[in-house]
Amino acid sequence: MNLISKKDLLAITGISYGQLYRWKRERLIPEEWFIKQSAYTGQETFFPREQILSRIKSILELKDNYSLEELSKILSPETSIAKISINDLQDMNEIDKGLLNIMPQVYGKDEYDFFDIAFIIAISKAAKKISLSDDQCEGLLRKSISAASRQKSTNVSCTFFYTGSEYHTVFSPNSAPIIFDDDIEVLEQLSISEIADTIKIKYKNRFVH
Amino acid sequence: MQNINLEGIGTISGGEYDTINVEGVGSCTNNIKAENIHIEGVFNCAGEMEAGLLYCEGVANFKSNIRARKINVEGVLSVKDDYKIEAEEIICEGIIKTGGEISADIIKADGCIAAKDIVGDQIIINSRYHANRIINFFTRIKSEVKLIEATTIELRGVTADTVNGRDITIGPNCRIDNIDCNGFLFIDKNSSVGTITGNYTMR
Repeated sequence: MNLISKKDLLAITGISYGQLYRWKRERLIPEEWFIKQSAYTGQETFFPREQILSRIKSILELKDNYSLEELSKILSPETSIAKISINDLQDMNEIDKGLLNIMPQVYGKDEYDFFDIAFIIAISKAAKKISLSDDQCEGLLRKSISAASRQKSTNVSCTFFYTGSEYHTVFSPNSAPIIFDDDIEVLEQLSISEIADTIKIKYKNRFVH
Repeated sequence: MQNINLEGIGTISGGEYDTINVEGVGSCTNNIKAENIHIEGVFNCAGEMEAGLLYCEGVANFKSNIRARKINVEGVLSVKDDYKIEAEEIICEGIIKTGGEISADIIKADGCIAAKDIVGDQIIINSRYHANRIINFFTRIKSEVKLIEATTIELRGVTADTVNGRDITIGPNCRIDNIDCNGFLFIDKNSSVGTITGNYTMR
């Protein structure tokens, strides 16, 4: 995983320590992103590079129009318990239409939390990339639901792979890349948190009540 | 919402309150949230605390995280292990001690503040090491921190491993191992500093 040091981050973005720590306190920047590692100078803090740069860009763009509390709801809706109904998902073109239709039946509910939505978009992207049939999509979703529901945060990646006879999903922490043997064909590897960040901004009004 | 006035010895159950006044000896085993918390006696809290204003003139011992808008300590506020203290403003004329992080926009300590990390926007720690040895005996806790990181920092009587900031003023009686400064830096001749890095202008 590509990391950036705290010092470099402040230098590149031009933000101050005060801003960084205020945003951490307001949960606009998740605590898990502060990664402590030993460097030759002692303990230094690093961040996942693409995620932190994208998050700070979002905060700087939105902070003049929203309060910190509203920003927290927009940027960290996974911490809110708000659910989105199936009707509100109809116009999200990131979600494959076939999947959208079977979601209530497969999930057994018609209101979804933030992780559910990010994961459905991940499967939709993979399905589009490798041209999965509706049946194959449904099969993949069904077998992934239990693992997906056990994820505690969006700070994970999901890898779709093919064993030669079946399609599968695996979830892993963003910081730990998965390496398969030669018989496995990796179809797509997506960061749930990156998908989450994109839809948070694009559909922000749905998450701010 | 409820107000609680505790003058004897008692337990406060967790929950949400308007004002909590502890003049006696109080304890709480659950998470507690209040607009105003005033501790004049002794308060032991095992749960998380969330407050508007936390004012401690007495002794408060916490076994979990504290989150408040403003924290004012004239007595002793101690947090166990590496739980954290988060606030917008912290004023300390007494003693604040934690093994974890203290994070606030403004931290002004005329007393003692000891933590693993102290971070924020403006940090001013003015710990006096008295010439009078009897006072030093009673204030045995020194301002000792591993890392201080803020936009502007002013320190007196502080021992720290690392101080990182934009504008840093190291006053007398400080011992700092590493400084990284990217603005203005002043170091008193009565302080000892190890390495200095960064793009700074010496004052």
